Amino acid sequence: MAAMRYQNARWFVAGLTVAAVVGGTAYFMDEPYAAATAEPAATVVAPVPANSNAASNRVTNTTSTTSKKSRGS
Amino acid sequence: MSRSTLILTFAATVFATLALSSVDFGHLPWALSRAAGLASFAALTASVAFGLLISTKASDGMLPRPFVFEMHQFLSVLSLTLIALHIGSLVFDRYLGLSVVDLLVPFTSSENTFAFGIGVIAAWLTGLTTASFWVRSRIGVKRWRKLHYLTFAAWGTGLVHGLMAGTDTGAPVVYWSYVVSAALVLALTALRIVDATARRPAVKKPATTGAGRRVYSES
Repeated sequence: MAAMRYQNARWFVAGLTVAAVVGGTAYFMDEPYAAATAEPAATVVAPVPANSNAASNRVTNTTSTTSKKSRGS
Repeated sequence: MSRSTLILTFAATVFATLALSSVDFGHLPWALSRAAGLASFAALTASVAFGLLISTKASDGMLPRPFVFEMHQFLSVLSLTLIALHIGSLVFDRYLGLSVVDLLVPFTSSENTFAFGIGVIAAWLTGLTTASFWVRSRIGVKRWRKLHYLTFAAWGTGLVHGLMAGTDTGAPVVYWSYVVSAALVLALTALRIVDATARRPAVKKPATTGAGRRVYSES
């Protein structure tokens, strides 16, 4: 008896769900497939300038950030 | 819909799914699975909330009890249907490449084993608790009530699956919907526990008289 009484409520919820699933699917379809599923992109390494050599790319900053205290005894 | 029609529809769906599993639908199955997964969790949360409204009587006076019960049952079936859509569409997905066994047997997928496995458990538990509506008279109310407590496990594992395996968990709208769902269910569960504790009759401690006879105190 109650099932018949609340038929409209059930149709409303069912309609809302179908709209949500169809709308959600359409929204996700707009996304590039790879962007949605792929692993996080690898860090892009800046290309080495043509006129550079290995020595110029070397890190020259030798300032140590580790104090004696933090290094421990 | 009669029981035989329901069984035939289910069998036809399974057959069609397997027959079409080699067809390439592009990324439609992936998009459909994501949308159905999110919708199924929303429906499951609503069903659990309506169920807790029945047991706590929190909605009495605001919503008719038959309506709350009807919505609880309907949303449970709806959630199960959406879970079937969520899993079924993954059969056609070429990217994840999950097999039917991976989708039905927990912890068998080689990738993301725990997150996918717990999702499979959530699906089975939802199926079990939903099916229990129709066997209530056969198994008895006491046993049914115990079985029905599995709904909490179904909802909890569903939430963990969504948080761990969901592609869209990082999206603010999805993340906050999980937070709101958890807050709603936890608040109603707390109310349920408080209500059950308050309703439990006080245990009368037996006191012994000097003559060795037990008398029950009035308080």
